Order: sequence, then C-alpha cells, then structure tokens
Amino acid sequence: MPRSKLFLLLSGLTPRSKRNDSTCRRQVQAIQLLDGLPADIILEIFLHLDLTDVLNLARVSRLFHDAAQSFTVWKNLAYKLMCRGRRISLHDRLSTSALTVEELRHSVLLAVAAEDSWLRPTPMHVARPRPVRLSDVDLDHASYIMKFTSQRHLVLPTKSGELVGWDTRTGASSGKYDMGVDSVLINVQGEYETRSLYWITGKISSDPELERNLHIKILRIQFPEPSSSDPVTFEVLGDLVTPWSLAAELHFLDASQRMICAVFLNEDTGSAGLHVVLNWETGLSYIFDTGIRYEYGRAVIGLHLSADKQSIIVRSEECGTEIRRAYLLSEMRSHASIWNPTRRTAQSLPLVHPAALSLSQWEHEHPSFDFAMAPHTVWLLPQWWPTFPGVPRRTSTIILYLALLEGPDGQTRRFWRAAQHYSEAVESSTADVDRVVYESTAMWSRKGKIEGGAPCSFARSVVDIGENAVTISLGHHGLPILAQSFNHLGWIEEAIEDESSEHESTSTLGKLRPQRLLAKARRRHRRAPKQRTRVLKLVTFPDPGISPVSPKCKLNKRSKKFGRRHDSICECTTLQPVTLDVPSSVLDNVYHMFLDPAAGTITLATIDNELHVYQYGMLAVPPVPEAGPSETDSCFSLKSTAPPSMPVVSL
Amino acid sequence: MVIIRTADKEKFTVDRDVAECSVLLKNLLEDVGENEEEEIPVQNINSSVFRKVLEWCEHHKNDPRPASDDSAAEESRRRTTDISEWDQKFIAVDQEMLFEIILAANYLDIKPLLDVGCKTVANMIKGKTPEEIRKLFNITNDFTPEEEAQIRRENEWAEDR
Repeated sequence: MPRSKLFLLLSGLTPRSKRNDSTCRRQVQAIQLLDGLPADIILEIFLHLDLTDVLNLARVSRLFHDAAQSFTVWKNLAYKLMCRGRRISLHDRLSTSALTVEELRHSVLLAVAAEDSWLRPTPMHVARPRPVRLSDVDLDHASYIMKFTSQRHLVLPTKSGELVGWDTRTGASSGKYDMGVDSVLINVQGEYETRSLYWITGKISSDPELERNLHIKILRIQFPEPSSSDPVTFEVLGDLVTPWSLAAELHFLDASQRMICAVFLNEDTGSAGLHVVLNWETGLSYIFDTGIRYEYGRAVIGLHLSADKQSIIVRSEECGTEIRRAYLLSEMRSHASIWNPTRRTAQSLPLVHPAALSLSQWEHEHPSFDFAMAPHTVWLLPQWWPTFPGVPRRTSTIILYLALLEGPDGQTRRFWRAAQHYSEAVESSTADVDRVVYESTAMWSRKGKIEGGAPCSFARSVVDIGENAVTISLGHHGLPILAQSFNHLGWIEEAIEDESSEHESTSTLGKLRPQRLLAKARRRHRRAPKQRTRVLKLVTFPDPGISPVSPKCKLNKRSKKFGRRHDSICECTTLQPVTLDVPSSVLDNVYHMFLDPAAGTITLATIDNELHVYQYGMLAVPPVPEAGPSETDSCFSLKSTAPPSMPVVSL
Repeated sequence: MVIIRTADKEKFTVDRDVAECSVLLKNLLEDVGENEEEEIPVQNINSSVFRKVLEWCEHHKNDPRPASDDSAAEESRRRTTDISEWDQKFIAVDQEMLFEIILAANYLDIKPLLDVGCKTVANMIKGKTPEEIRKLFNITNDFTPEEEAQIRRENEWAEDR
C-alpha cells in the first residue's frame, strides 16, 4: 500500500472522540488543561463520580456546568442507585427511557436526599405537612391499599365496599366501583406501561352449596393520562370461584397471560392445595395438593413464575429454612379443566411433587435468635419497578418475628423483631426491562435444582422493634403498623415518658435556659406523671451485598455472648432505628402508613379519613400531588371481616 | 513488528500484539495487511506520551479485549473507581502527562487505558469543593455572580450535606 494511501486512511478515520476545537487547540497550547479536554472525555470523567462530586464539579465553571446537564450523567447516577435496589420516581412516565434529563435529575436528587435524611440521627421533614381530608370517603381501615402507577390518582377502598378513584389534583373522587360490602381486596399488581393496576377482590360465596369457596373477581383499574381529567375506570376481567380456606391467599402469576394462583387448605389432607388459574377469562385451571403442611403465611410465603415462565415457584418456610419448590406448567396445562366447585368433596385432589427443590437456611435464625422467637409474617418484596437495562434484580425479604413472654403481672408481653435479607442478584433481561417483572429467580439446571434467587450470604439485618410497637388488631397477636419498602422498615412505638426520663434528658443538656426549665415544669404540671407518646421509628437496610452501609450498624455480638459458635459466613447486623419528627398527635390516630423512598415521603392515614404526608430530604418540585406520593412499595391488609387468623398480605 | 511514527517524527518498532491494544491501530493494521515495511504515522501524539502508552500496552497486551458495543460491560466498568496497583503506579504522573495519556488513549481507542485516566481524574475531584477543584486544575471561574447564585439555589439541598 502506498504511503499516500495510508495517510489518507488515517486522516479519514474517525477516532472514538469526535475531533473538536479543543483537541486542535491543544497543539498550540503549551500545557494541556482539564478544561481543554474534549467534551466526551469530560463526560467520561463525570461517569466515575457520585452525586455530590457531580454537583460540585458542575459548579466549577460553565464548561462543567453544561456537561453536568447531560442525560448520560444522570442516567449513570440513576443506574448506580438502581443497582443498590433503590427506586426512582418515573414522573408519571410509562418507562425509564421516557424520562427527560430534568426529570431524571430531579428523581435522583429526590431519592438520594431522602436516603441521606433517613440515615441521620434525627431526620427532619422539609415541607409543612398539609393533611388532606378525604371528603365523602369513609376509608376502610383494614383494607387500605397503597400501590399505584399514577402520581395523580389514588384508589381508596371504603367501608361500604366501594373502590374510589381519588384525584389528588382536584381533591375529589373520580370514578368508582362497587365491589360489595362483604368483599375483600386480596392482591394487586401494577403495570407501568399501560398505567393500570390489576386487582383481585374476593368474597365468600353466598350460595350455601358453594360456601367453602371464594368468589373472586379480577379487576383492571385504568388511570387516565396525568393531564386529562377523565375518571379512573374499572373493568371486570375475570369472575371465578376458588377453594376457600381460613385465609385468602391469591397470587398473580402473569397478569398479561391472565394467570393467577390460589393457595388453600385441603381439608382432607391438611396440606396446602394450589388452584392454578391458567386463564381467568375461560376459568381453565389445574388444582392439586402440594403435600406441604398448611399453615397460613408459612406454607406459602411467596409464589411466582420462574424466569423462563415454564414453572411455578412456591416458597415456603419451615424452621428457619426457606424451601423453594418448582412445579411444571406444561404438566398442568395438559391436565387442565374448568374446575367445578360443587363437586369439591367428591373429588380427591391429585398429589403433585415438585420437579425441583431448593433449600436455603435463613442464617439469622440461629444462633442470634436465642429465645422463643417465631416467624410471624414474611414479606417477599420483589424489585417490581422499571429499571434501566442491566440492573440486577433482587428480592428483599422481611421476616417479622414474635416472642411471647409472660410478664410479672401475668400479662403476655409481645416482643417483635424483624430480620431482612436480599436475594442473590439476577441481571434483568434487556428485552423487557420496563415490564413489571417478578423476581426472575429460578433457572433450571440439569440436576433438577433451582439456581439463583437464594438468599445472599451477606447483609442480614436484624432490628429489634421491641414490645412497645403500636399494633392494629389483626390476628391473635395484632400486627405492628409497619411501613416497609425494599430497603426500609418503619413502625410506630409508644414510649412511656415519666419523671426519670426527663431527668435524664436534663442532665445531658448542660446549660438550661430558665424559660425552658419553666416550660418543662409547666408541661410536667399539665401532664399526668406517666405520659404515653408515640414516635415513628425507621431503619434503612444496608445495601445489597454490602454490610454495613450505615454508621449506625454494628456487628451483632450476641452469638458470642451466648457462647455459641457457628462457622457459617452469615453476618448479622443489628440496626439501630432513627426517630422521625412526626408529632405524637398525628401518630395517635394513624392506622396505616406507607413509605415512598423514590419521593422521600411517609404517608400516614388516620382514622378520621385524613392523609398526612411527610416529605424528607428535599422538596419535590415539580410538585407531587398533595395527597401523597406516587408508586409506593406497599402492603395492604385484608378487611376486618376476614377471619382473625388472617394477617397482612404482602405484595 | 509494526513501525509507528509519532508527531515529533520519532519511530517506534512495536510488537503487533502490543499495538493491537489500540483499536485504531488494530483496524488499521487489518486494512494495511502484512506489509510490515510501512510506517504508521500517529500525528496527534508525541514520543514522550507514546512511550508511556506503549509501556501500558506492553503490560496489558494479554488482557482480554473489551467487546465493543457491550452496554452491560460498559455500565459495569463505571460502577467502580478501583484502579489496579500497577496502573496506579503507571498513572502517577504530572497533570499534563495525565491529560496527554487520556487524549492519546482516546485517539488510539484504548478503552481500558482511557478508563484508568478518567478514573484517576475522578479520584482527584472526589470530596473537593468547587474552589478546591478550580485550584487543583487551574480553572477559571467564568460564572457571573447571578449564575453562581442560581446554581447555588439549585443545589441548596446538597450544600448542607
């Protein structure tokens, strides 16, 4: 090849960076400076920085300020947040890819600021909370639900059995559906790309012949475009009957395929039966006995499709061990029929063995759990929200333990404790990132074991809720009012303030102004000697795979104290909660609360039909709806009409 | 062997597998074929910088090459600002050389070296105030007072962190 041609070739080549003014200039410049680097290299440097450093660098000069407005910079920061299991606000967009750079920037700032605030010893809310009175809506206290895909609208269940679409912008109801006063809400699943929700409602069949059955309806709730004033619409998609046991346990398998699954007690065998509805429109289903001893909340703590959608994964808990069983869908399909509830007693259900089985020990069960702590409720919280491609997906498992101890006065004292761990990460597929994907756990291997999705070995967190948690009456022992998210747990504690505690606080104060002493004395005078005050406690779980992240974490030395040794790599971290500045007067009336880490808000619903929103970190501008945050990690409970053994159903 | 001529007319005889750390040179060599007599000119790089780049390529010639257009790998390399011990020693140079290496890595399309350079700069920026960054890199503050006030307002939350 002649040299001239080589030169031509070289000059015609476009290197990775587009040659721009700055690179040409550098040949004349004596010294290469940072701000003389081409724009794409500056951008590359930005991608290696965390939020605080990005903000600082943006304040250095115009060049860096402009570079910091780049979508890539904010996408990268959002990506890093998502990798830590954090959710960011979608600003009512249908997918992460539709976010503008301003929205993305705002979402990242909101999430990081809230997280930052909640890690401080005394988080303080940033905006004056304005309680929103839900006029004309009498909230059903036990059936409160908080997970939706619209920022503007809420769906509120009422005591009269209605579902009311609530427009937070106009402060009025917008569309409603009457599900009947005796109906309960059982499960919900959001679908971002269509701005809708799927809900399962159920009621015990009134037909005496069907009395041991549950009549369920599958609803689709469609939110209007955020800018439009159209009402929320409700559509019944499926209407069918499923076996009823002590509690309604219904799980979505794949809403787009119209698949759900019910768990029930097979009275003939005492074990858990599964009613797999393969198509809720036609009612085509397969019903079988799993052989798992039925116990509410433990026989099945989670149920979902495997990643390849070829099998159903059933997760159960036994003696601190999580057992995952896989049942093949193909077999169910070949034996499927329309289930006839009237012939229930005449049929004996086939016993189906799982095609694959996997055990994993919840290592924090032992040895740090030294006294009669038993799992009470388990929440499997999948990363259901849309993320960018490549973000690993996990499940956060929160296990609520209860110990019953006899008090000196003969009263039973209830000690609560929560333990949390993340599952192993599974990379999200790039194909359908913006779909609501259940944790893509199980992958098949030749050995017939289930791979992936097992609890990971690090960052087990333990938090003592104690005996002063405020509970709602649900089940035999009640249930603490909890606000849980993928990486948070909040609860309300009732502290008994007496003389001694006041003395304690004065001694630490050092100098006291007379006015303050006077005020204190006045307070003391006004109050009864023992005053119950409520405080809102919150813990932030360490990042997945990292332990510990918060300065408040410390290693649990309990096991050493009890002289036990264990060789497992389990590392239990005891978390110390922080106290949020929500006034006791508000907490006194709270029956439900929920936390939105993406918006930095905690919303408290009170018995007098008010919503109180506390914003942490920084103000949400553009404004989030007054009545509350958007898409929340959620949990909801069943109506009080449900049998007392029925605790909260998790999502 | 490949002969490469830098901007200041110095000639380097380089092993082909060392030269192929650079995607630019690799593509070029594929186009040129086996004609080893041919000198390859790299006009944007001086010999002092090129020597340094060659030192890096020599050490990393057996590293697996990053696949192009692999967005997942692209994202994952940004998750960390860790730099290997050898690279840290290698990149412990004055600022001017650091930027020249970055420019050369960018021009020659050597992504892992570009990464080492950018991570090093990022590490220098971390934890510093805007004023400290200006001082360190000799950058003039070209904001008007109004602009500065505006930016401060935008970042109010971050200020008190």
